[in-house]
Amino acid sequence: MEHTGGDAARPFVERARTTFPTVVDEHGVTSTLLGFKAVPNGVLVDGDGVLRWAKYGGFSIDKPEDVAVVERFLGGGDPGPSPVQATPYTLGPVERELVDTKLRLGRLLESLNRRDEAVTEWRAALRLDPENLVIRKQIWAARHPERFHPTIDWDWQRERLKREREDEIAAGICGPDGCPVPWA
Amino acid sequence: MAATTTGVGQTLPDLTLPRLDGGELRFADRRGKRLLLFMWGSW
Repeated sequence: MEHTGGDAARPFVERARTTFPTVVDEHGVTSTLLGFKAVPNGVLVDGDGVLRWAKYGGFSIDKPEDVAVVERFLGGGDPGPSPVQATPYTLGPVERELVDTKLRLGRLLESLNRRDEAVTEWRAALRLDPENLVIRKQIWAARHPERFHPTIDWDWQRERLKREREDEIAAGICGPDGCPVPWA
Repeated sequence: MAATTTGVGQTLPDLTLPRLDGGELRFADRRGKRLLLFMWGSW
């Protein structure tokens, strides 16, 4: 399940030669539904369609602890408790709806080549929800495409995140423990 | 869309999303099987 768009996803999927279907979620339906603010995620669903386990952010098939949970579950076992998610604050339903709407509006504007307006919407969404890495990375990818194609510059992202968080703390948007009043 | 999230222990609503290789994937068609959904972005 890919969260940007089909054209961005295709080279990765072709390189990985996956044997499972890949779907594209351009409009962020799954992040609204599940409430996650980062990827990569692993989500386990049982035969009745019940969500049984979820790890939002940092899920990887290179991590033995993640692989162990998946193998146990697919083998018919109990996945155990989900990792505790860091939730420095919780958005109210109206703020969440607004963040999701601005994220979607930005993607629509970008698809119309109105990139500056898209970034304005995403910045407004990020101000409401500063912990949201999905929004933050959308802005980075729009403003610094050379850091994402042909390869993703992870060191740049780590450095950038650190600097932006420091700026946000200095500006009083967030404290070191999160953003208790995200709309302030 | 309602702003309530689906948590562990709750049933996911039926979703239909476009497949990268064409057509659509309807999650309800996969009922009866245990699934791993892997979610990622190209950034």
